[in-house]
Amino acid sequence: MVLSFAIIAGTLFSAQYLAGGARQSLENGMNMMGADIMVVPDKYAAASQAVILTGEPTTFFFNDTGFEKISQIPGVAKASPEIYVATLYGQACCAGPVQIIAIDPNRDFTIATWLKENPGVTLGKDDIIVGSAITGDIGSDLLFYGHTFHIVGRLARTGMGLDMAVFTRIEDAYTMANESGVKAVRKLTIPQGMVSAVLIRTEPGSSPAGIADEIKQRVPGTKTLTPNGLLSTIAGQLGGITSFLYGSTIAVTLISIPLLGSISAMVAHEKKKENAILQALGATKSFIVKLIMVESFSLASIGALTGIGIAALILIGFQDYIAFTLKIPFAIPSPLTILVYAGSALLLSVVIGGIASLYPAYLITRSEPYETMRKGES
Amino acid sequence: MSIDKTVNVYGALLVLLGIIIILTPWIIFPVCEMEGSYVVTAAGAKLPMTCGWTARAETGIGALIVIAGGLLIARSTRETRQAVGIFTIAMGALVILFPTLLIGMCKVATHPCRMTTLPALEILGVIVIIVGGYLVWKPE
Amino acid sequence: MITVNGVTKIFGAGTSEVRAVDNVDLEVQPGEFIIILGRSGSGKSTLLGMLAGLIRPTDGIIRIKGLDINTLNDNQIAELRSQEIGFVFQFSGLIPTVTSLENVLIPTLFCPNGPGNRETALGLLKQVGVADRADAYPGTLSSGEMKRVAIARALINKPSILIADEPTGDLDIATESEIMALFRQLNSEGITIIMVTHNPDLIPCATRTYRMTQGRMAREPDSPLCQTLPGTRKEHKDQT
Repeated sequence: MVLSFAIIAGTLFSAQYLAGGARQSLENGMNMMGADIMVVPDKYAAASQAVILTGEPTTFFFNDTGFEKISQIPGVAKASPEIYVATLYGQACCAGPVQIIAIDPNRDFTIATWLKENPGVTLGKDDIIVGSAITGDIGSDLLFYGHTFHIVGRLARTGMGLDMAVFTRIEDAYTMANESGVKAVRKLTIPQGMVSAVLIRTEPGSSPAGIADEIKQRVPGTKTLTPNGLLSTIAGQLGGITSFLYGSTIAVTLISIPLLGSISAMVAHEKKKENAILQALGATKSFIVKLIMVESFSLASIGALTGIGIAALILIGFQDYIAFTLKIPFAIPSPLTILVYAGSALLLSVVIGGIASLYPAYLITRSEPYETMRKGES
Repeated sequence: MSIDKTVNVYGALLVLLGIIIILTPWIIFPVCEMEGSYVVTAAGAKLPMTCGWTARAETGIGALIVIAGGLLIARSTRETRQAVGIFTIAMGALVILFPTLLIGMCKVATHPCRMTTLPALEILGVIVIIVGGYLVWKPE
Repeated sequence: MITVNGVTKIFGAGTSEVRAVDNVDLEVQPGEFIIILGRSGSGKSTLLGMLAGLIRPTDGIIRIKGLDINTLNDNQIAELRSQEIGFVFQFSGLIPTVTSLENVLIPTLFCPNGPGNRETALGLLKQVGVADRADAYPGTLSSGEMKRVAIARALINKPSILIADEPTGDLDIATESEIMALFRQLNSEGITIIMVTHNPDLIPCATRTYRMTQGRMAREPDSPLCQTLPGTRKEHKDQT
């Protein structure tokens, strides 16, 4: 019985934890990015989402950014251009290619609030600020396309793909590209005057959706990404996984209730003699019923806590592996949220325990204790 | 000498845990060199990465845990149980400390040693410590 | 103390009807030691169950300390039972997952304002001769020790009546004698005892003996042995 409750509670907790963790990661990332709208080329919309969410590096540019047009749209408070370049191959820092994001430090409004190590640092010549998953201490160097960059800051963890990104100045990116023909294995070309994306912060009170529509009209061939839009994308990806997990929880629960009822009835049958003895010693039937229910609740609680504990141990311990395998962004939900998940899983187990104990409790009220004892003897 | 069946069960559990700890970095959740990743020196020699050295250390600790379990099965007196318990707690701590502080794992977040081997060893270390604690404080 | 008038218990109906107890009358005075003999299936245990309020009679009246149990609901009977009646089962009926001392204390759960407490329980275990087994679990006790603990449990709430259903049924001869001596001692201290057994050789000095056959009960003559055994009511009567 304890095992059944452990499985029910563990499955429900896991479903909530994974769904919650993905949501948390996105919220963290979106909050940290500080952008209300991200404008990208229409045909590279999926690639740019992949950069943000799962860290798959890519290189692309607008045909015509219309950067100036975008900046002048009413309601746009700030606009920051970005260039995306995927590096060649794994450096000492990394298992594979990373995403270089070149920014204009004078216009950028995202990184400053995001810095975990060396806050307040600004990007100088050949300086880079790295995502939390990039190896390398502040002050050490990294080589991309043959060009040496110095790490001056590290960003806080988001659980999203941007943890594997490296931020540098746009002019340093151009320098790197120009020198790559000589210094790197393969030449990198960054077309002059072109950017990959524009991050926009809207003025308070204005509608991001309205501004997004305006952008699509004024600058054809663009797609606008919003935090809600990204959340929907993730929800779609996660949907399959969470449906499976929640579905498993429901299936396990539905199978468990009659199973637990049978086990509970068997246990009650075994304990019939014991209950009959208690009644002979002066226990009322309601005392025995309470005893059965308390036992059931206790087993449910113990099973649930065990299941939740084991699930939490595995989920928290292997969270990087899970996020990497499922290709979802992931950040540990807040302790309060985890407690809520655990509480709901525990509550479900206890309710099921209560339901499962109803049948044996009913049997007790219908039995004659002395007959039970006499039958037990023969 | 009375044979305490419960203590024998824990002895067998320790043997099993020790074997799992030995197998974890090589087979169950293999470290990078099992996937063919090595540090190559300027002279062309292949050396294990950091995780490889941790794996070797864990093999040693795992073997010690197996021996502790065997000792408990062979001689389950109160004093043996408590002594084995104390050393088991220490060994469980080392199972956790080797990949985290003492030796470490690869720094790259997406290496398999970081994503799978490390959490597996941490969990196993916690279980070993709990078993050791029970052996020390088991009520008579 | 206990009055039984025309009590009948029928199990089943129609062609499968069984009259376990058939029109039995009995009056038990305080301090008596009643033995009811009978083979298996004679209805003696069913009668005992009715005397303890565990089975409701199909017909007839049972009064315990003046209260007609037909007028009481299950909870009221349970309360009466916890306060006034101590029950010793044939199979001792100890709960295996708690110690001897805890087993003795179980009835105090149902009589929280009663006289039973930890000190009383230890005293009773000493009285029945198993004080050194207070912390032992029933699985480690001998049959005789379990029976002694069961007797102590039956007495924890200081009941006025002790009902014993074949208390020596599964004991060897030596242990039987010890248990019967214990019952005699308790009776001499004033506890009313009603005991059922199928073995006539085990008759201690009872005040009265009955025999049940196919649900009907008849008085048996007193055994001459009863006159001479120490600590008996007869001897006590002769001395006063």
